[in-house]
Amino acid sequence: MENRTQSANQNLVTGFLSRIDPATLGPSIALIVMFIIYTTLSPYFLTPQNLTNVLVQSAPLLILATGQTFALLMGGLDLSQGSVVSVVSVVTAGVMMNYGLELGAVVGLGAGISIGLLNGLLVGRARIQPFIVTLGTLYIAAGIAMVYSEGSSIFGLPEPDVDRFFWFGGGFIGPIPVPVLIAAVLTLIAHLILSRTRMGRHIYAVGSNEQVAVMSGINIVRVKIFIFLMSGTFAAIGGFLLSGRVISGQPLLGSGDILLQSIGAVIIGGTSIFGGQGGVLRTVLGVFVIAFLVNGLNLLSISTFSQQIIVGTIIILSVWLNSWRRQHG
Amino acid sequence: MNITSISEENPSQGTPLLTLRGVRKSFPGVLALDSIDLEVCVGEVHALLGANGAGKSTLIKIISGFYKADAGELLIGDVPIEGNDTKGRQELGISAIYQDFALVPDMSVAENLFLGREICTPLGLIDWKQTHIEARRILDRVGIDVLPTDLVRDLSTGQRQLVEIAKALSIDAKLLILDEPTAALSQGEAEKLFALIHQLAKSGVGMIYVSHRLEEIAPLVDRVTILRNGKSVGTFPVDALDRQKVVSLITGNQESAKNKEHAQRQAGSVLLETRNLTRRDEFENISITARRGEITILTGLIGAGRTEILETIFGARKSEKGEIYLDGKQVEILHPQDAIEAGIALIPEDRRGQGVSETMPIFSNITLASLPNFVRGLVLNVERELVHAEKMIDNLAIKASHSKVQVVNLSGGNQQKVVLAKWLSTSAELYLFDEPTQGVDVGAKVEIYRLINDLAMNGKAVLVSSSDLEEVMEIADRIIPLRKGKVVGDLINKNLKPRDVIDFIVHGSSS
Repeated sequence: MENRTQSANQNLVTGFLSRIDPATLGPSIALIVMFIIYTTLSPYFLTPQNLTNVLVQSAPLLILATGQTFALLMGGLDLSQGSVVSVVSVVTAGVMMNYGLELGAVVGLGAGISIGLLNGLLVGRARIQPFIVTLGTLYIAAGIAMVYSEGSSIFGLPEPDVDRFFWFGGGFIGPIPVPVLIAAVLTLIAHLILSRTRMGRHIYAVGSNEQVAVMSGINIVRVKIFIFLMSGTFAAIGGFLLSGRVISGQPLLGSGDILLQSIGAVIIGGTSIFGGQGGVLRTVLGVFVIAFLVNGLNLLSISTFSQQIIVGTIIILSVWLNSWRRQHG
Repeated sequence: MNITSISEENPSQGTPLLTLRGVRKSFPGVLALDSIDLEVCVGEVHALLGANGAGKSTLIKIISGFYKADAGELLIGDVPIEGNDTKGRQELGISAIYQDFALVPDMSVAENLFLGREICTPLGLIDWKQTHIEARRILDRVGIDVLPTDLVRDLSTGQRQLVEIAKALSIDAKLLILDEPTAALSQGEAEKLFALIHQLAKSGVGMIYVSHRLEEIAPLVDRVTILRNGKSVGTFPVDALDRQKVVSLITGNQESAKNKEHAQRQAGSVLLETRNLTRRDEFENISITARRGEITILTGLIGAGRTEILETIFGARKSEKGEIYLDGKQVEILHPQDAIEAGIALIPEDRRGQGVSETMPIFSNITLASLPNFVRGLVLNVERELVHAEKMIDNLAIKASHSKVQVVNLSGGNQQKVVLAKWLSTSAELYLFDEPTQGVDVGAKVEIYRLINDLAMNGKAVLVSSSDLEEVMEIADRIIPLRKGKVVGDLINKNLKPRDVIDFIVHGSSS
């Protein structure tokens, strides 16, 4: 009897400790250190305006990285996210030109989501490595964006739809920026899917050991299709918000940093590239690390070239820290 | 060095080669080893015995520098060694040979022998001629009959084991650690290995021999250290032990592996029936039945098709011909999903490959095959999963502090129990066990037999694949011998002698 109360106490303690995800320690400390340094060095850093700015600017990245988390959890990658952003941008703007925002959104997002579906079918049904599949669709989708827009940006979207379009990327509901709200809702949905649904559990199982997943009666083809559908859908929504912010269709909108930042954020957050371990909450931290890092460096007028060196270093450091932590308990 | 005379007759009184004092090691949520003392002398064969989860693997990984001990001393000769550094240990003459071999299958024997220390010409290119001459010399030392140019992929398990030992010796190993070296060997191969061990000991190599079974190695061994629950029960001269004593020391006096309820069961209706199941090159026209309340065992040599048949019934392989009936109704099982829905569970032989998801916590491993039971609407009820997992951890005595511990932190035996817990959670009617006690110790064996027995007592149908004849005779109600993919009999396990079963699986009929 005494034994039982003792072990119950122990359960309480370990239960509390196990609630804190030890992988979040590294990025959390990085964020705190950054806040201290930036606040001392720049009077503009810790202002409501700056913080809101960072949140608005990082909303599309957060959405992409949240989708990317699904791919990494199965031990894969989605390299096509950036190209999906470009496709969504030009198709939405192009269709909007003649048929209005509603149809533009449906067709534009639909195009992006179809690329995710294609990825999923190729990974799940045809059993090709995610890296290869999405490397292929990275090129294909980038090409489609260029072909569709004939290589130039689509400006001059019709009034009043253009204002509504901008609302998604830069509008406000009361004091809350719309893209931040959308990103928060999507992140929450993704988190609930991963932590509270069968599909979520199946994703972890496939990432942890595919053979075990099969033998446990999991339909791994369906799981893989779902994963890339999520990653593609989230990239498409991210692309929609980005385009709204620049109120135009840009064939190169997703060809810059955003893909690598999306993967980098997931990794910095502490999701394992081998699959099976990690989650969306970690990714949120990873996105904040990148977003505040870049913002602070900008405020200190450190060039974007130097910033790249620092971001790269942080990615490697964070993975190193995580593997060190795992080895030394 | 503290040199005392090395006595030829009794090497265990020789110079200590390795000394461990008060070694402790814990993993998140698990105390794996606690205050372990161990001494191995020059030319000694020191057996390390213990149940699954007793800490044998952890201990040898600390000795070979794979893990760092949390506390305690490790001396080689009389030099204290610290930290974890496998390469450094090898340079000091400590080599470990694990169950899962560290050979590269797509390289030749010679390439493997010199991996990482290739013999080069002055120009820095690999000197193949010299490599092959040296390789031949090393292979001759252990008396193994393979060519340096043979691909490791093409070698038998026994040959691979000997190549590993040859490799260890070629880097001047003074202390060899052998982890269950005979687990996958044929009788002939094992005898060859024993002869080699004997010869090595005479030449002064110290050895730690990890095993479940003392009987097999008693003639080779000088001293025995027994671990239980991460603690050392003691070190004994081998002559001071007998089978009974070893079993009680390993298990801490659990009852022995006798199947007492055997006679009390009543076989019920036929649950599973297969008709003419066939897969080319694997098995042919398999027509078998499994009844409720009965333990049916498929037995046969390696290659008889046992695993393949079980996996086909479970839908992990597709049969080319034949039908499966459950309760007299024909069923179509194309995928493990179908099997689980039809009330079939398969506990696979390959635990790490097919049984546990190592990076997932215990509780989600346990509920993975029965998630529909924990769903309300679309949402998983994680709290109920945790409660269920804690119950299973208690019921099966899984050694872990709580159900959120990652399975990778558990010992082999406890991982096996997690797999069992997972399939017990599915409330299946037909349980398929593939070599349930392969590589499992006396204590866990008893528990697994009890569990299988309980399933049958509760009216489940149990179909087991086993190549362990002692086990077959012990737990089977009915024995179905297989030979080269064909059913060669259907025997009631009553007044049956092992000899009869052997006749079937070797010759295909009783003599």
